[in-house]
Amino acid sequence: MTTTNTSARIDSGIQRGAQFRITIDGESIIAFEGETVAAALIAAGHRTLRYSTKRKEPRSLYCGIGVCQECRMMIDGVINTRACMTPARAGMTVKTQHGIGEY
Amino acid sequence: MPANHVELAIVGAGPAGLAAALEAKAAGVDAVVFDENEQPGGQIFRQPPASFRVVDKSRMGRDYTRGRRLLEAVAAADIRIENGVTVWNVAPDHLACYRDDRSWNIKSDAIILATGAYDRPVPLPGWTLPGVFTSGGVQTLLKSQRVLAGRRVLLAGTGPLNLVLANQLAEAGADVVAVLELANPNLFELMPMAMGPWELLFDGIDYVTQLARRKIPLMRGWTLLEARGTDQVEAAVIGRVDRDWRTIKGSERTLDVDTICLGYGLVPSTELSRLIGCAHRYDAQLGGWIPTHDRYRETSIQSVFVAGDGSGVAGSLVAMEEGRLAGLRAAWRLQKIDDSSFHHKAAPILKRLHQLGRFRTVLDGLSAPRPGLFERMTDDTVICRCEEASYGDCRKAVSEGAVSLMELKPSLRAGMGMCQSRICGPTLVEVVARLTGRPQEAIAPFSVRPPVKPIPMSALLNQDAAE
Ligand SMILES: Cc1cc2nc3c(=O)[nH]c(=O)nc-3n(C[C@H](O)[C@H](O)[C@H](O)COP(=O)(O)OP(=O)(O)OC[C@H]3O[C@@H](n4cnc5c(N)ncnc54)[C@H](O)[C@@H]3O)c2cc1C
Ligand code: FES
Repeated sequence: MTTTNTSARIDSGIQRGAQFRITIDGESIIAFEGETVAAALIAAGHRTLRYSTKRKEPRSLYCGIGVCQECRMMIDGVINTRACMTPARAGMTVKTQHGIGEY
Repeated sequence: MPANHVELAIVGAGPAGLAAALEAKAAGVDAVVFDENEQPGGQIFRQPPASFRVVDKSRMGRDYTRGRRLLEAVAAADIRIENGVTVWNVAPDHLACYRDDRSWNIKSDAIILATGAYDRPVPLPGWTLPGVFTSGGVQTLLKSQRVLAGRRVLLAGTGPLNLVLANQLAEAGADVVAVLELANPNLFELMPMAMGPWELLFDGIDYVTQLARRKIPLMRGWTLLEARGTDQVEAAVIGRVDRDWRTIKGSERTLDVDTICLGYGLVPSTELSRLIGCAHRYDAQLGGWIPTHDRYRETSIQSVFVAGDGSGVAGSLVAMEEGRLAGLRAAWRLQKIDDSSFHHKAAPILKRLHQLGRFRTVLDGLSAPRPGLFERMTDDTVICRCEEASYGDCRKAVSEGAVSLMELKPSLRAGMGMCQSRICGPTLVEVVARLTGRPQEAIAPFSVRPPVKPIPMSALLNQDAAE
């Protein structure tokens, strides 16, 4: 897992929705109602969302708008779920996806 | 439970789809708009989620305000928008929708495809490293989620979106290292002419002046050659380019960055128009393969219309006019308005489109891809992110006789992945054309099969009976 403190939530101009927690590979992180899973992970400095099938390389958000499928994760047990299009919900279980879905 | 028949189904709640819905509804058509985003507005008018409260509108930018205006008009007209719904299959008389592990079919008498565009993928060494994003993706995080994707940010590519984004990032507190613009200095100096349309298409602000005020270097005639790092991007190798965007040897420099935004202009989303069976043509100026249509936006299939960037990239103002036209023409097809009423209402729209079109030529000339763009790949560079087919694999297949994308499929598996060739397709058309010496027009895009976006097997099993 890649952790950095390269990213951050911007607080000016906006009041976020209710705060809750989700887990990423067992670790608990903060998310806000209305955030996508990818936004919550990136805000937590967690950039690697999956590992590619053949080269086993880390991959992250790329297009950010649901087109490229690079952000596929196992979300609440469902593989190949796009983290950039999926709203975070309280208690959600998110797992880094390895290859086509075993984890 | 959604009704399973509508007169007009519109896919895409961006400027094009919403404008189409407004016109159609005003003409008495029962129209429903489907969009996989949780909020309507499309890419430019992307709104924060409903649970976020905007406390200071001035911080949200002009697009937010203009978007609110369009959305208020849509709300006042009582138009039904189905948000969070992915359209995963389409035929001339129905579409298949997916949401929350459920799939259902909707019959429709007419369809408008207003599916928009996305950032042009340009493979180069290191472009799959975490921390290398599309400019649009970083902007979406910023605009709708209010999340900064990185701290030390480099922007590279071409066109106005990078200038817009650099300012937005700096304002949000990022350290913007530089904006690398491929267009070479001479071309860029055409600015008095070029700034006209850029302003028109991208807000009336002088982004270049703003960059200068913020002391962000705008490096014209420079580009990203390689992204470096182990688990994520740590450095960018940049270099100068000539008029054809080819690298000038010996000009390489390395910059420390933790984030790279790549914005090379947009390519149209055509998977639904290809799947439904519309005829397509290649147009480099409009972003590649696009659905053909008549003057009033009807495709080769009767009662199937296209509008907005998905039918040729031309910006939000054009998208809105095209949407209006498509909405009106659909109303005419559905016999809600007669011939003379149609022409009466269409005339001013056609006039505005004609005026906007004049500016387009300059804009296209500035950022339409030039040959050097596709020459930074090495044999090891991944072109197809899904199946991890590389430039080397592609060269090998061509040397063994492949002359079309279909012939690449068996050995590369490119185009067979989850993204349905949205990422590799536009590049492979250019690469195969170059390697085989054939024109792009001769390199047909991959065919598309449902589902156009991955949906879980369980949803297919949960599918409600059609009709
Ligand atoms: C990420 C991004 C950022 C941009 N930022 C700017 C900017 O700052 N300023 C500017 O002037 N222009 C910007 N542009 C360009 C501008 O967005 C477009 O010119 C304009 O939005 C085109 O409008 P449209 O209605 O044709 O498409 P869009 O606004 O792209 O809307 C298309 C809609 O269709 C939906 N859709 C597509 N396929 C499906 C499907 N299968 N099922 C369900 N829904 C689907 C999408 O979710 C999307 O909301 C940006 C473009 C992108 C891609
Ligand atoms: S980042 Fe491209 S689909 Fe999510």
